[in-house]
Amino acid sequence: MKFRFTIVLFAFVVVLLNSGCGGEKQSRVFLKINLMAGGQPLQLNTNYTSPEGTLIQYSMVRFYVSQISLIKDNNEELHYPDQYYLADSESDNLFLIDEHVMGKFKGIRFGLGVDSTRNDSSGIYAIPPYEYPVDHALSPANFMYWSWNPGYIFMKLEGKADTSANGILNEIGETFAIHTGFKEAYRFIERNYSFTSKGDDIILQVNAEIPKFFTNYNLRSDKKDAHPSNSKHEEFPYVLEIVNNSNLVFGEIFE
Amino acid sequence: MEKSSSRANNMLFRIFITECIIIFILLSCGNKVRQTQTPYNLQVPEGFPDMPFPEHNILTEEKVELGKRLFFDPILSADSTISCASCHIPEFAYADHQPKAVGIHGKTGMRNSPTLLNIGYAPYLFMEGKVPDLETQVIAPVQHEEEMGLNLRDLLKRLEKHPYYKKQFQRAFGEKPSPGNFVRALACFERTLLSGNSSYDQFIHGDSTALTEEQKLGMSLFFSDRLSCSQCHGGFNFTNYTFENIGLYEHYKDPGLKRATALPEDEGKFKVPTLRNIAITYPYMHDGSIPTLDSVVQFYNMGGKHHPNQNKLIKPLYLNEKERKALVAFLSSLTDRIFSDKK
Repeated sequence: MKFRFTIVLFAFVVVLLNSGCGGEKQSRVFLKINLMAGGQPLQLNTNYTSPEGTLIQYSMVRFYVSQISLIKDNNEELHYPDQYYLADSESDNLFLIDEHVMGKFKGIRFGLGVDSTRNDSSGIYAIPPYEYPVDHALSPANFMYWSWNPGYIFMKLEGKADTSANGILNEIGETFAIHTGFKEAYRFIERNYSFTSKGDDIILQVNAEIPKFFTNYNLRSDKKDAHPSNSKHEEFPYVLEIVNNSNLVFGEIFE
Repeated sequence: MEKSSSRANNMLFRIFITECIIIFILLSCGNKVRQTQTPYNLQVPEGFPDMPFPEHNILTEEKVELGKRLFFDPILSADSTISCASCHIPEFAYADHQPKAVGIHGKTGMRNSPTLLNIGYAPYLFMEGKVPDLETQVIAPVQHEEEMGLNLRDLLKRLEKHPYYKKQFQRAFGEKPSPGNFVRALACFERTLLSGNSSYDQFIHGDSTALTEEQKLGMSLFFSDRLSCSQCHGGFNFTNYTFENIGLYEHYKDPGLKRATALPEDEGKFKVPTLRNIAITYPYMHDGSIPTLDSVVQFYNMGGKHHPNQNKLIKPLYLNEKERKALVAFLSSLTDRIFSDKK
């Protein structure tokens, strides 16, 4: 009899917890990053024009998303410090943030790159790259680990750029490869968006207009190839120019 | 009747419980059944210090055996043509005779392949020294498109399908192949590559006949203040593991340490290599640009090309021919014949 009562009580508590107050129920929350160019889904190896007017094709766009926080109405935050995602021009970039979210929220914040807790080889939280399973975003299998130098490439923007401005893209030397990295190049994106968990999946979508990374960046006169080995490297200022456009790249949140 | 029935029931119950316990043990262990690990008895050469190794990767016979098989297996390259041993050839003291490493499809790497003998003592890896241990280093050549060009993901698929590796990873680690145990196995094998039984070693450990008179002259020059070779190439492994610019060029195509630090004062600095087995690891320098040991000695004799970062010890040595030959003869006495014959 006592046992039955305990079960009934337990079930009641579970139902109560799940139902919440004011119609709130646990929801799964996803972040979906849509890589775009000219307002349309980004196509690799397709002609686009950079903001500075250079004919351009992308062959790879890949960047890390980390340190995600869902910001509640009361300014409390649900923070996910150990979750890392790799947005890639060849994936759907739908990332499950949390399976059990409950409450009213007013925004989201996420970092672009790999924060120093996982990127600094001497950091106490640093995990050697070989400890990640190959399906983990931070696995070297994604070719975002420097290998000869500790740490991760935060973003790869690679492709062809018509730097001779003759309308032809396949000429020798007209490739570009911008690899960003190092803590000085880590950027946060924060967007306001109201949502409430009601039991259904919530997919927070954001468009990333990739060509905007090249705002005020002239591929004809600025560096076409930048892979600095640290923040003192002569190519690092070019990396900063690119990542400083991050806020322009990401649009508003929608579902 | 009742008694015997009760006894039978009791017996059945005991069998049932025993089976449950066995099933529970098997299920709880699953694939994690660990075989007995056999500690590897690493015999360091006389006069060498104990080898440091990470606590998470204790040497065992099983890991070393697995690592050795991996090291010599071209399964590690994208087109299955290149193994670690393609550039680190045992007969050549685990280096090769190419100016620069040659990877899949004949692609040329950026630097000369270093010897792996005594590599377990290296406090850091690569010529910029930014990789902290052998475990981390292993990933780079496997995935590098100019070396083996194989994604770790694809490599693990191959290893999981391979009957030997499937079994040996279980024996060595009690689990299927993973990036972590793959690099650990290779690192363990590399730590067993030791060399310290050259004529020079035999001489300093009491065999006065191990060196010729010419080699002895070369040795006294090598350790002299006049030449200062041992200032950088000193210690049990003939390297102080620092980074030096020896004035090989006025203008370096390969920035060396500056590649990692971006500091102008690091341009043209490279990790000081060991001189053990140097006679069989030609050609020389980071780019394999000097073909013979004699020409290396001639280069040092001239005093370098006067790069701004050139180490002050690199200056004209004014060696005569006899001294040059003696120095080369001494350097040749650092070859470990027992090791190179044993492979």
